[in-house]
Formats: sequence, C-alpha cells, structure tokens
Amino acid sequence: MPAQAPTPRATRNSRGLRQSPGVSSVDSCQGDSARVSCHRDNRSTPTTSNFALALEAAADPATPTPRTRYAQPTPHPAHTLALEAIPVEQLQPVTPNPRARLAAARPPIFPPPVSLPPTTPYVPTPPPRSSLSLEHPWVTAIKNTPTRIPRRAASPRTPVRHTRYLTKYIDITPLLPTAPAPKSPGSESLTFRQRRDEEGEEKFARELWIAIRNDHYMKGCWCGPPNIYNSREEAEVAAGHLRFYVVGSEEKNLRVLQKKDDFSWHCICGNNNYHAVYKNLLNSNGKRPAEDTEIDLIAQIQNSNGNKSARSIDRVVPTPIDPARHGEAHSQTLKPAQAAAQVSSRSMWDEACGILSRTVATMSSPVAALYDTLQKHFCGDSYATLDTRRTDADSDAIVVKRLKRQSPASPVEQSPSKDGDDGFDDLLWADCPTQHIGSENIQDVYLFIGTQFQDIETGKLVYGSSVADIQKQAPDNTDCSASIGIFKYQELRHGPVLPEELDRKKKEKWMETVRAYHDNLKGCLRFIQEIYCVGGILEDVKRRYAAPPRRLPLRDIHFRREALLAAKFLDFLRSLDIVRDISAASYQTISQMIVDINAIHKSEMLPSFVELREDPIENMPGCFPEDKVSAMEEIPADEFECEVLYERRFPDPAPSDEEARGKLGDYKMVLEPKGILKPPKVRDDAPASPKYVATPEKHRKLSFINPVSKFIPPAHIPTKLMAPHEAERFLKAKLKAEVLRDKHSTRKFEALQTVSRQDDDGSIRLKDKWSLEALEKDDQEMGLTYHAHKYDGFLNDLHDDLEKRAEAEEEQRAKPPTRLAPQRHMVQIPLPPLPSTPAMRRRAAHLLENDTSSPASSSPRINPLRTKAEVQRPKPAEQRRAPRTLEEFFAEDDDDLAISVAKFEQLQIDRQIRDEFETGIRRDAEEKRKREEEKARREEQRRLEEERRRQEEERRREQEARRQKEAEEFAALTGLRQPTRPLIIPLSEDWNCKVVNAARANPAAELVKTLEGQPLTRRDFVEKLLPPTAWLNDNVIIGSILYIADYINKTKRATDQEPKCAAFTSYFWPRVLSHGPSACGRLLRKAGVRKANFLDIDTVLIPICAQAHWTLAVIRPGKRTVAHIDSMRGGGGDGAVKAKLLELVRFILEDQFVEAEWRAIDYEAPRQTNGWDCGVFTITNAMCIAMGLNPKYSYTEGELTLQRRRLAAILLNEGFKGEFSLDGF
Amino acid sequence: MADNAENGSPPPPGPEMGGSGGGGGAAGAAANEHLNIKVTDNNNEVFFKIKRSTKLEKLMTAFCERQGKTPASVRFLFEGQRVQPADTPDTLEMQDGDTLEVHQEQVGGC
Repeated sequence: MPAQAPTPRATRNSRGLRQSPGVSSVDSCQGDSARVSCHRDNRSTPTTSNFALALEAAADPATPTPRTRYAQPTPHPAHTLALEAIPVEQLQPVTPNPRARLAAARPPIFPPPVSLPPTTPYVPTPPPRSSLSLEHPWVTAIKNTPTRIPRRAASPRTPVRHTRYLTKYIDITPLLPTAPAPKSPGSESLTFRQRRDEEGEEKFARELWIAIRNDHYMKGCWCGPPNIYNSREEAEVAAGHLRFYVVGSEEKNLRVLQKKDDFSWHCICGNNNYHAVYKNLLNSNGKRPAEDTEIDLIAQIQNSNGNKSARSIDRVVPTPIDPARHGEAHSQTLKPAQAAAQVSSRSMWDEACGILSRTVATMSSPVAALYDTLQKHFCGDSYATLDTRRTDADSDAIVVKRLKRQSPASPVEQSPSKDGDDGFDDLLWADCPTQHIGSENIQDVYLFIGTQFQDIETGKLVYGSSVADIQKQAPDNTDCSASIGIFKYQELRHGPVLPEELDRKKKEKWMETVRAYHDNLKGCLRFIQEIYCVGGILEDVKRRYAAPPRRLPLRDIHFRREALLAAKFLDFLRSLDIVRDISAASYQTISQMIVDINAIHKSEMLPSFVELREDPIENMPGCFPEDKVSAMEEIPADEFECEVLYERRFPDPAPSDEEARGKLGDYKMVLEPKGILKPPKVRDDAPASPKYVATPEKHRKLSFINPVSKFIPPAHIPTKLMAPHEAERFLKAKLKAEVLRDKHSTRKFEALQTVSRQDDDGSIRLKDKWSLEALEKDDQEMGLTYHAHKYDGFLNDLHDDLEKRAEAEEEQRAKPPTRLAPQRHMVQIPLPPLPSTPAMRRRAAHLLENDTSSPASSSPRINPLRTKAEVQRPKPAEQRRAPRTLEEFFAEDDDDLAISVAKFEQLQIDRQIRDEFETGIRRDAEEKRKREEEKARREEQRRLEEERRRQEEERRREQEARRQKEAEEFAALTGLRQPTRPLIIPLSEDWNCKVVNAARANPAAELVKTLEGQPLTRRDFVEKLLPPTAWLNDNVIIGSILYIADYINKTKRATDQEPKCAAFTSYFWPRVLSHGPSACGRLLRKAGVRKANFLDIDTVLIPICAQAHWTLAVIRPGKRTVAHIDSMRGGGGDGAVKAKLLELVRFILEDQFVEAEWRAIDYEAPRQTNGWDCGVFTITNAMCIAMGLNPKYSYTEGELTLQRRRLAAILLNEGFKGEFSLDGF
Repeated sequence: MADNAENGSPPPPGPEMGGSGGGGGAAGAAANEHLNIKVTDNNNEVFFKIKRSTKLEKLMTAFCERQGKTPASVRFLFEGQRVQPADTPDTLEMQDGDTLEVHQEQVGGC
C-alpha cells in the first residue's frame, strides 16, 4: 500500500535526500518512519520482536504485520558492522523494558489505521553501544542522565493529565538575523550551533536529547529516542530522522545529523495520536506551520531549568477542544517562535512542503478519521493531550504526585459522608506521614537543611563576590553550600552583585539575605517537623476527620501563608545546583515536600497524608484503567506552581465547619451568590403584582346576512304610520308652517306628504315598478318566500290585533277632554302596513293596479293594502269622511266653537281695556300727588344743603385764614413759601434717552464729574440712583447738593468765597462729630464759611449719613435757625444734631454768637414711608430749603421715583441749568 | 511698608519737578519732593512715600489692591475732604506725615 501512495518519491530522491548507501530499494520506497521501524526491527532483539509480532498478530489478525508486508531489508554493511561491534549482552536489556511490559499489559485499543505505516510496539532501542572504550565520554555522560521509568508503566492507575495546555514559548536567546540554514546535507543549522556554543556542549546535548525524547513521548510517538553515534559515518548509516554524533575529542564536538528537508526534531513514525495532533496544527491553508518544537524545545528545557524569569507560560486549561479553533490558537501562540525560526528556515520550509502535504494526505484517510471518531467517543475531546511543554516522567524532570484539585463533582459522583464533608472516594488516611516520601529521604533533606541552618547559626559563612569566589575562599573540605545558597538567594532577591557597588551596601544586602535565609530555613525545618513527625498534624487531622476531606484548612491563615513561603524557599533550594548534586532522590524528596507544604497553603489534602485505596472495580472487564479518574495526578516537579493557579471560580460550595467558624484576620473570599432570585424589575406601565384581570366579554354575534335586513322599502310605501292624534298634530304644524311661510318646514311637510300616498298623486308610476313579475322576481332574489310562508298569517293577525288595541286606547284618551273636536274631526291618514309578506305585496300590487286604472271609482277610501276582510269592515269614523288634502280638511272644518271663542276673547279684551283705563286714571292721580310731595322735599333739602355749605365755607375760610396765618407765621419764621409750580415734573424725551444711555455706558467710563471733582460712573447711576428702591450713595448726594448750592450762588450772583448758600460734603459731619468743629476749619474755609460772612449766608446745607440713613442739617444764619430734616420724622429732626449745629455756629461766630437769637426749629416735609428713598428726600428737601420753599407743599413721596431720574439727569447735566433751572418757583 | 508704589518707577526728570522744589538745591528738592503719607482705615495703616506731584490715584489703587477692596466702594479723606483721583499732595497741601483716612462708601436709604 505505501508503494501505491502517490508520494513524490522521485523528487525527494532527486533532492538529495541523505540516505545510507545500503538502503534497499524497498526501504527507500517507504516513508521515513517506515524506514525507521525497519531499522529498529533490524536492531531489536529477536525475542522482543517476536513477542511484539505475536502481540500484533493477536490484536489485529486482519492487518498484515509489517513483517509480512515489507520485505526485510538487508542490513547495511556498515550497520551490520556497528551491530557487530556491540556485544550481544548489551543488546539484550537485562531488565524487561517497561515499555514493552506496558505494551504487553495493555491490550491494543484500536487497530492502527491501514494507511499508516506499520506500527511497531515501542521497544526502546538501546543506542548502539560500543564498549566503554569505544564510546565517547559525552555519549556516556548523556546516557547517564537520570532516566526515569515512565510513570504510566510503574503505576498504571495514575492517569495522564487530560488537560491540554496552550503554551506560549518565549525564546530568550537573542537570535541574530542569521543567514538561511545551510542546505548542505548533514551540516548543523546555524541556530543549532549558536545555541550549542552558548550553552556548553554537555548541557546542550543532554537537554536537546531530552527535549527530543520528551517530544516523542508526549506525542505518543512510537519510535525510539534519537541516538548518538560515535562518528559521522556511523550516524549516517544509522536509522532515525535525527542522529547525533561526536566529532573528535576537542570541545564543541557534538553534531547533529538532520535530514535535509525535515528540520523537525520530532519523528513522524505515524502514530495516530500524533497525527491527530499533527492535523490540528495545520493552519487554514492546509499547510503545517513551522513547528514550534524544532528549535524552541531547547529553549523550553532551558526555561524550565530554574531560569524563572524566562518562564512566561500562559495556560489555557482545560477546555473541550474544537480542533480547528485550537489549531488556530496554537499556531497563533506559536507565532513569535515561528517568526524567530523562520528567518533561518524559510528556504527549507519551502522544500519541506512536499513532504508535509504527503503527510497530510496520509492523515486524511478514512481510517484515520474513523480512529479519530472512536477516540473522541471514548476519550472525549479533552483527552487530546497537547502539552508541548511538559517534560515527562522519562526525562530527568522528576515527577511528583499531588492530589488533584477536584472541582465539586456532580451529585452522583459525590457521596457526602455523614458529617457532611465530602471526602475523596478512593483515599485513605496514611498510617505514617513519611510513607509517601520515605523517611530516609526526609531525614536526608532535613539533615541537609539542618546543616545549612547550623552553619548559619554558628557563623560558618564565607562571603564572596561569586560562587567561584566563595568556593575558592572556603577552607578546604568544608561544606560551603550554605554560603553558596545564601549567595544565590541574594542574587534572587537583589539581583546580581555588581562590582561597582559600595561595600556597605553589599554588606547590607548580604546581611539581609542571611537573615531571610536563616528565617526561611527555620520555617522549612519547622514545617518538615510538623508534617512528617509522628504525632504531628496528621494525628490531629485524623482525629478530626474520619475520611480524608476534600479541603483541609489547617490552622490559621498565617500558618498557611508561611507554608507558601516555605514552599517557595524549598523551590529555591531545589533549584540550587548544590542540592541537585546531592542526588536525584533528594531533588524528588524536596519536590514532594514542596507539594506537601504547598498543599497546606492551598488548603488541600497533603499527598503524604493519604494513600490510595485499592479499587476493586479497576479490573472489571471492559473497563480501561484510564477511565478511572484518580484523585492523584502527576506533574513534573519543575512545573509545579506554588502559587494558586487553579480556578477559583467554582470553589467548594459547602465550606467545612472549620472555615465557617472563621478566625480573626482570616479572610474568606465571598463570592457573588448565584441562584438568588433578583428582585423583579418594576415596570412603570404594569401593575406591581400580576392580578387576574378578566378578559372583557366580547359581545360578538355570529350572524348571517339576512336578505330581509337588507330590504329597502320602495318609495311608495310610507315609512311611518300615523295614529289620528299624531296626524292632527302633524297637520296643525303643517298649517302653521304654511301660514308662516316657513319654507323649510313646508318643504319638510311636503316631503312627508309624498310619503302618505295620495291617489291623485301621479308622481309614482306604479305600473312600471310594481308589476307582478317584477315582484316575484324580487321575492325570489331576496329569498323572502320562505319567511313569507312561515309567518304570513301570524303577522297579519298580530298586526290587526295591535291596530285594534291602539284604536281602543285612542278612543279612551280622546273622550275626557271635552274641548277637543269630536271624533269626526279627527283625521286618519291611512298608512298601510309594511307589505312584509310577498303575498300581501302581491295583493297590494293588484289593488294598486286597479286603483290607478280607475282612481275616481274608489271614492270610499279604502286602504289598498288592507286585506279584504279589513276593507269590508271599515271603521265608522274613517268611512264618513276622508278629506283629500289637508287644505280641504281645513276648509271643511266647521267652526262653531271657534267663533264663540273669538267672541269670548273680544269680550275679555274689552273688559281688560276698561280695567286698564280705570287703573290708569287712578295711577295718574296718585303720581301727581307724589310728584308734588317730592318737589317739596327736595326744596327743603336744597335749602338745608345750601345752609350747610355756607357754614362749611365759612368754616373753611376761617380755617384757611388760620392756616394762612400760621403759614405766614411759619414762613416768617422759616422764610419758606409755597412753590408756584410743581417741583418734580417728568423729564423730556431727550433727557430720558440720556439717562438710559448713561445706564448702558461702559462700567469703567467716567460719565460726568461732580463739582467736587468726583467722577461718576455707571455704577453710581445704575446701582445707586436709578432703581426705585436703590439706596443713594455719597457721590450722588454730595454731587446734587453741591449743584444746588452752586445754582443758588450763581442766581444770586454770589462768589464761592462769599456764598449765599454753602454746602458741605457728607464727610463734614462725621469729622465734626469725631474731631469737633475746631478740626474742620479747612473744610469750612473751603466751603466759604467764615466768621465774617457767616451771617450773610442764607442757607448752609449739611448732608448727614448716619446708620445708613440720609438726613439734612440746615443752618439758616439769616433767620438764626438751625434745623435737622429727617424724612422719616416728616421733617422733624434730632435734638442732638441741632445741639451740635448750634455748637458749630458758636464755633464759627465766636464772639458774635448771640445765643438768644438762635433757635432750633423743625421744618415740615413729606414723611418717608418706605425704606429706600431717604437720599432723594434729603436732596429734594435741600433744594426746597435752599430756594426758600416749604418742602411740605413742594412734593409728595410718590413723585420721588421720578425725582431719581431727574436727579440722574441733573447730574448728567452738571447742574441746574437749562431744562432743570430752578427759576420761577 | 517702605516699598511703595513710587519706588518701582524711575523718578521723573528734573524740570518737571521743579515746581515745588524750587531752587532749594538738589538735596533740598529731593527732601521736599517726597512725602510720607499714612493711609489708614480703622484696622490697617499703610505708609506710602510719594512725590508731591504724584497723583493720589496711584496711592489709592495701591492701597485698594493691597487691602483687596474695590476702589469704587472706598473713600479717601484728607482732613475730612474727599480725595479725588486727580488730586496730588500739592493740591491738597499735604505735609509730610499726613494721614489719609479711608472710609467706606456712605450709603443710606431708610
């Protein structure tokens, strides 16, 4: 079958695929792996191969064994030579190979797919070992690297981890932009060399070898690990896609032999698992991206070995894997590495495509697909293992066991124990805590740590700048491991020691590290003691729990925190070379201890405390060992993370009692409770609680369209039947309408009239419409026949009966009112019933035809629509007379009663007229008398009134005279008079505009300057003057009062120094009060007030501002009066002010002051009633007083709002000139 | 206090200040030229050293700025007489050591 495969074999060969010269033609036909297996077959011992063969044959008899399918290749001479060189006993391993045992123990689960190259049960091929003398020392060294027995084989119960890790590698080695890898066959790639140079021969070789082997195991590859050969020739003839060989004996002598066009480390032996993985790695183009493991496995190994900084690992675990997506994700994560690798491998990649596509073709065979399906079915997707990072049990990476972090299993699995604690199903308490690790190992490690501790305690430390330095300094034969450990710890904590650092700092660091190291050692010792000593924690725990619980929170949180620190420190210790040098056993011991101690931190069960229970179900037929999920899991010791990495999203829902109790300082993670119902959203439109609202009943009738209901009566059939009394009313109304010539009403009645059929009305052509045929046709069309037959007689009877009853009632009602016209006067407009039945209609049609043929013959009026019986017995009233029209009816109506009524009315009117006439006469007389009386009374009233008026006038005159006399007296005293015209008049339009403009001016602009020199700004107008309730400020008051004085002086032709009116600022009075009049000489002089001219001055105006109130003090030296005008007191003043004024006068006049002459008086002025106008009052009072007017008669309070505008205008006008002149008052 | 508004600006050239100094020599003129003026409201006293011909507006604004008052609401009085911005010590016949009183704007209504 492989021969039939369309493999581009020829091209591959033509590319110069390196082949051993002795490879047979058959062999070269096969794929690489086939060749490998062939070779392996060649090399394997006959017993093993037979055994394997037998197994395979037993497993799958249908499949031809490789032996049968492939011709046994002739061994290459060189190979044979090599084989010959190897002693026979070395070829046969003494101990049965575990893998072989495993293969034997495990029945093959699935037959290998047919299309794939034949599988060979894994037989680890011992490398072609020459005798010790022949083997290169490196080879020996590599071979001696601790190899672990695969766990799976050792303890079949331990499952593989069914998790898939997405791992991101970061290559920390600086990759130079290298030239493309050399194409020459057999030469090592540049990267390879570079790396080897960097890392040292031995280490690199070992790790590379381990990496490759791990890769194999990880992928389940069945072929053996790469071999290392002693020489290139040997390697070339040997099998395996990757062959190492040693060149010479000098340094850097490890070479690798690679196939030219496959630069993968991995083999492609065709294992199904591997192919499944492989397939996932295809990118969307169906091509395999550059494999990560190629180069980076090395980096990974390196990373995992202690270089913690390079450990950047993203774990995405465990997810049910969608293969396609996963492949993508994987390829994405690989990109950095890929990018790095591609520089060197691009050209090779192109060449490799051919092989890869072939591989893909092989994979996609239906059997492979079937296998995949089966695998998925049995194992589930999550079984797919892709852990490219993982170092397996076989490597020197030591595997430790830990208890799996179990998510709360489904209730079926979980069997809650009686105390409510969920224990592990298959765990038992261990008898002794040392059982798991081994007491010797523990003692060993304890001793190791203890020695270090002792060394530190006793001070046996050496300080050096490097490890080598320390080793050099150390006295011979002494253990300087503590010093080295401390040094490394220092490096870990503080970074490398730099030579340029200060000694003091170095020392500080060192001391600090020593202390920390010491503490950590102590902590480690303590934990080891507590955990592993008999009677330690285990005893307590056993006492507390019957079965091992899932969660084991020990002590308090501090204890657990310390456990983390101890675990971390142990991790550090483990990474020390000195530790590793001791033994692999101690390395593993420490790793296990770390797991234990760390379990304390994570509140998990310590693996040392438990042991697995034997499970009887395990060996049940049909049950695969792997199916049983164990409580324990294995991880490489290097991979173990001290930090909590597992998900906390689904913690154990039922915390144990221990936790629930809670201790001080113990923090619990409080999770958002799930499953608690949220409060329902309250919608605005809906009622808060759902109430039953009955659906409203729908009155819906199921009805069919009845032709009867659609029947529209023809025009000749009257729509209305009228009873006689109705007809009467109707006719009267009609008459009235005609009389009144109400056209609307008349028309309405005419319309009605057409309804009540008249025989002589020719408007209806009955013949046209009412032929028998037409009627019958109508009937049939409307489906009336049935209804007619059914209710014919009944309806007719009913109608007659009703009519009779109505007539009887009518008669009963008509009897009592005697005034009504007798029966015969009543009109009956015969209104035929609705011809509801076809028979009746037909009859009616007949009658009508007869009628129209002889209209005159039907003088006794017969209802044409009546049945014959009815016609034969007409009603008496009806029969006697049937007026043709309404006019006739009225014409015929004889009016005895009507006449008598008219006479009676006439008589009544006569009487009324007479009565009225008499009453009129009587009323006339009465009115005349009343009028006369009235007149007399009015006369008298008038007389009285005149008298009263006269008296009042007299009184008024007297009062006026008195008032005048008083005023005169007052005027004589004050020299005030009444103004001749109103003082406050509205402003002109022009000045209104100016005031408004001033209010809109620029705030900083100087609008006008007062006489004092004070500039006025908008603020003074807008804020202090114009608003009706604004309080005036000093600028306005002083400005206005100075203008008043100026006006008076100008009109009286007085100079500033000889004024007739002197005005002061409002700051004068405070100074008088505070400093006394003597300090005001300067101000007085400035105002032109001196002793010499004081008595010639008419008025001195002093505005006073006291307690936010403006008042005016006035001195009239000519009248020898002082006054204080307070608008709040209606012109009255404060005595204290007057006294002070007199004092001031005395100061001014000095010896000329005659006290008897001077008087303090009060003026009369309008009273202020509001809380804002006092400033305006003050100014206006000043105006009045200065002009000799009596303020009381000059203005009123209501005018002051206007006065504010006037004042603004006066200030803008710079004085009382022009329009504001005070002349003529 | 000593740093007044005047110190910052260079003194005006000689011819302009000849008005008050007269022919009394450079030293005498300089002595005459500068006045120490105390400006006080009831709480604070601020001394200004100004020239006779300097407008008092400068002093007033300096005081207002220092005391954080608006110039519109403050009245400066020299012996009861209102000081206008355009006034100078000369026009007010001020002597060395005279005091300017600072009053609040007088406002009244009721």
